[in-house]
Amino acid sequence: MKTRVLIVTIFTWLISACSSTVDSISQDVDLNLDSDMGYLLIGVDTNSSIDKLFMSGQRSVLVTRKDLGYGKSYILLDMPAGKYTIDKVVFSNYWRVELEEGHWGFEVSPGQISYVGHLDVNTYSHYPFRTALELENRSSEALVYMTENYPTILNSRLMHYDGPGEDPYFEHIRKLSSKKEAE
Amino acid sequence: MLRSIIIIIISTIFAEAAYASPIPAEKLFTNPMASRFDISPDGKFISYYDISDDKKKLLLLDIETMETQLLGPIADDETLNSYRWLDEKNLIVHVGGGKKVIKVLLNVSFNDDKKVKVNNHRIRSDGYIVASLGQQVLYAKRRDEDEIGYKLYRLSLADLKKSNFPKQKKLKYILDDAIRFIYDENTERLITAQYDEDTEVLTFFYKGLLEKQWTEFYKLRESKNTFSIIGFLTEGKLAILSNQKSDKTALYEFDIATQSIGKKLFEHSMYDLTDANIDYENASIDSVSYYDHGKYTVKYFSQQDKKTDLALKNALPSKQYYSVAKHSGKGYNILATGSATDPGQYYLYKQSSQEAEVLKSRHPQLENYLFSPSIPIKVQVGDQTTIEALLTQPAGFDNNALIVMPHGGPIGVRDNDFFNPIVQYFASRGFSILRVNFRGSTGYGKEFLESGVGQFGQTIENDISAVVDQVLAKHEYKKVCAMGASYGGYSSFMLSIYNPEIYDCVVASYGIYDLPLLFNSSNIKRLEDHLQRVENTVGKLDKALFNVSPVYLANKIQVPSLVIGGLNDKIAGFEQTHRMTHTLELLNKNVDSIYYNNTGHGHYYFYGDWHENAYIYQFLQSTLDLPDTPYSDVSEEDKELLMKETVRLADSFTFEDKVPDDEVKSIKFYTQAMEQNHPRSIHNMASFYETGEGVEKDIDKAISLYKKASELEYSGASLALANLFFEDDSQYTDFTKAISYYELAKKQKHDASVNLFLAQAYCLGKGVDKDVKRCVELLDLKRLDKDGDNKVTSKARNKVKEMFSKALGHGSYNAGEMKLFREFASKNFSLNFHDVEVTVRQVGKYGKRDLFNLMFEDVEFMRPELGLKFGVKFDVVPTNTDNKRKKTGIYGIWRRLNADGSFDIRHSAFAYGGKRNWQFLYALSEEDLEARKWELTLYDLYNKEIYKKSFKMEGSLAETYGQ
Repeated sequence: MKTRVLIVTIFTWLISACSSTVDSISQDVDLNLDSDMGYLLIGVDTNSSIDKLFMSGQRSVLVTRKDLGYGKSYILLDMPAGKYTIDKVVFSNYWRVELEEGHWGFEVSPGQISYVGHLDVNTYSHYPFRTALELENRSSEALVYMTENYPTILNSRLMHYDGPGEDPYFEHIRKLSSKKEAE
Repeated sequence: MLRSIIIIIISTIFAEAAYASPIPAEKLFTNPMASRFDISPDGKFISYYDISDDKKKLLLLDIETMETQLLGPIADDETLNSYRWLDEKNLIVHVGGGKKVIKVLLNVSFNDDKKVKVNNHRIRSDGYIVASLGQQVLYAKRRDEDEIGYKLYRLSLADLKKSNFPKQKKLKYILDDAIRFIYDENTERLITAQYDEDTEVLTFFYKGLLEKQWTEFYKLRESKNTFSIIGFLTEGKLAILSNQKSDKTALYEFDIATQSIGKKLFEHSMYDLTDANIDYENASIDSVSYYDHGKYTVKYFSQQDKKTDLALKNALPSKQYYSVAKHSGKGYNILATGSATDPGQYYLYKQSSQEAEVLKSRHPQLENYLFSPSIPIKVQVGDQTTIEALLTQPAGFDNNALIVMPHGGPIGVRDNDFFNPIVQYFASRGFSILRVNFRGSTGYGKEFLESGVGQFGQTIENDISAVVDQVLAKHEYKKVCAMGASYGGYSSFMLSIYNPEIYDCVVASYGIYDLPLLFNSSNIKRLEDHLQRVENTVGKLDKALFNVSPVYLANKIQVPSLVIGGLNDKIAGFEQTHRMTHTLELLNKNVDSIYYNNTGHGHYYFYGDWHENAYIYQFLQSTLDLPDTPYSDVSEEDKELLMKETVRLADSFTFEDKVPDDEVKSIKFYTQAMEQNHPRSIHNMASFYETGEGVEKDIDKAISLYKKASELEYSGASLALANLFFEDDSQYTDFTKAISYYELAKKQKHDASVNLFLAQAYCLGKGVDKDVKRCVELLDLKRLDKDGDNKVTSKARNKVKEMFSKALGHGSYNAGEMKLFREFASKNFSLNFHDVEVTVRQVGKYGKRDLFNLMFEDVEFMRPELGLKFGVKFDVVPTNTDNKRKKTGIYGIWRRLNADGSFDIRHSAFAYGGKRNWQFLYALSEEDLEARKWELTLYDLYNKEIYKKSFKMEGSLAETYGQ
């Protein structure tokens, strides 16, 4: 398949109503998760303010401006394990981007922290609205973020890359760290 | 196709009256001051683009008188994209600014005293000139926005000037979705191409200008083989460069009817051809070109060209040159010189006299430097393969350190022996630089190129190491560092991993360090065509790639490293850089890093090159413990520029947003500059000691450094000292000293803000007798000559209101003094009434956010939080005026209730404006969080209280959080 823009920009007043609104976890306290639950960590890096982000799978969720907005942010959620997709990104009442199926999937692993990538949003024209989206693997940045902001959760759970493709970087870092500790 | 004749001569290198010394980055990394030379069709003038004196312009040089006149200035935010002469009086100029390209037709004429007169005609059409046909032009005009392709017009210049595109002048039989049109003057054919997105095939067509039928002559498909069309050799045959039937890219015939490659016209035994020129009339070859050990080389075939080449060689002895424009009728040729040791000049060669005359230097600022030449090296690896390399040795001071600098790519890229600013930057500071064209490099044939594919950390590094071994066997270097960008960054780490006994450091920029990550770096990069491209370079995704990835071999890296990355790098990906640094840091390895903002796979602006190379030099000096580069031959101008390199580094880590703030680095570089008595650096270090940023707070040390900078005539230091002594209730408070330093700063020609500080002293009677008249005179910057000794800068102008506010809020004044203030305010802020009352609209704080903004809420009580913004919003009502353009000024004082029941003045503010939408707000700082009560009082400029309001906090911070 050729590389091409995987997005469609649609002018609409409608906003989907069947997803539950979720807030990113703010306290560094490891939750007592059921065996079929896991943590989802997704980064967002955007040069235009995002109003809402819709994801669906085992559960349909809606992340709001409270955790999004402009610039860099991370969203940490407890979610049922399973397969998910990012469905759409809403920028305002007027502009939203619906994402093409098959390219925006990720997984949440039970009992682990599933880092699924950074949603990189580069808006290069506001009228007409033109934006390029990519789900980038920035595992090392995500690891630093978790180390600095959620050390308790990070120490209690394995962090795993569950975005597009496979990446054993977290496992490599864990091995290096335990080897260092053993020394 | 339409290619100019390129002539080149390889020469020995010599520079007259040149000296070897460190060349400032600002001189090396710049755009050429002169470029884009052309000759007018009548052969009377030379046109060129000039950016000297920081002004962009197109110039016209009279060949007879050699006088230069201005053809057209180009705005600072625009660049000249291209231009061409249409006839002897008209040029079309394409200027780019942002996303727009502006086309202007310049009509040139001369008055009686030969002064040039230029009439501009903006062409309002999206398109381009395909060809100039006598009095007419062929113009390709873009179709409507939702259509692909162009309409083709044969226009008179009069139509073009008016952007007039009459239907009857539109050419028929033009392919609808043609990508671009080219006109081949030899065959008088139009050439174009169509692209099929589904099949990814580019199909080429030609036809005579008036013919109806287009003839398809080639389909270009994505292929590993080279296929480059040079031009028509005969009616039915093309001359092409191809390596489909040979290892090296050679010149072939291509038969259009059978679509097959025919007779080989020329092949070099060692190198790929890069270009060729053909003689259509005689269906023969004029010349071919290639890189001979990195040097651009042209081989001529006709006796006439060989003769011309010899004549040019005689006219420019010791120069390597090529032709950029020629006028056959007049026998003129504009030649550009350039080589590893020649940053370039333009010459006018006249066939009649067989002499070449200098027109312009590409880089006049680089004249008189002695540049370092390169020695060609060949190393045999295995039985069959020869590796070429270039060793640049310093022309002057030699620090006995070798930089091994692998190139990027690694497939299809190479190093050449051109003028290279990075190589000359380090060579002028004493380093030797080794560049190797390892397997995978282009120019040495298909087999050599393909033998590098998938050889990351294997054959490629073996090739480099074989050359390094040979160089080290012949030269005694005390230190060796591997340094490179992109693939070169990867290779540098791998070389140090494989040869820890050889390398003393690694500098890696914009590199890739985790090869499997290339296959998993994003969802878009998981798509098939991207993965194919990665495979074509790295080889297939395999576990073995972990064994040649520096991230996974980080524990084997034993030497200090510097890792440089661009936050917007979409080619290598910033994650690669961050991952490498993070892994090394986790292992407590000696690693330094710089992450550049607004930077991709390299810098967008020269500032980045200046900064990066200066930083690398500092890293190499300290890491390798190298002797300082001697400054004995350095001019005063260069000494200043070299100092600026150090200070630029220091400033960047504190004041600018190009790199993340890093006080430690900033202090390191300021300290270096301070040791060389750089006044501003001494001042900045003093300010670090005064505030305790990055160092332990030490006011005595700050004062001592401020004094030193002040003695070196740095007025900012005198002002800082004055402010330090002027501060109330400090152990250093000394108003008399403060006044003397304010006066010194004024004498040292500080900007007019120094007047405002003195004004404050006169208003408050601190260090001087209270004198409101003098205070108001000093506040009134409008009285000053804006270019006088104390310049009225925008910074100073912006400070007037603040200092006026302080004077009002912190002093007490009688009626006469308030009259002086009213007069000052009326003049400086255009006020026309002073009797006011206040109608309050809202009292409260900024809190909840709506879709776009923070909302102001009406609240009586609030919780103290850092940054909490609260206060009053109101309108003013004039009491004694019917002036329709009413403007007044009032001032307010914020007082804070202390624990002992006393009130402190925390802030005073003067504001002015019309009747509506006033606000006086205060934002809590860290030291305000314990206060429980605040009071805002507003006064008019008669000092009459016109409004008072108290604000209560729900509890101090301690109570709020239960401490």
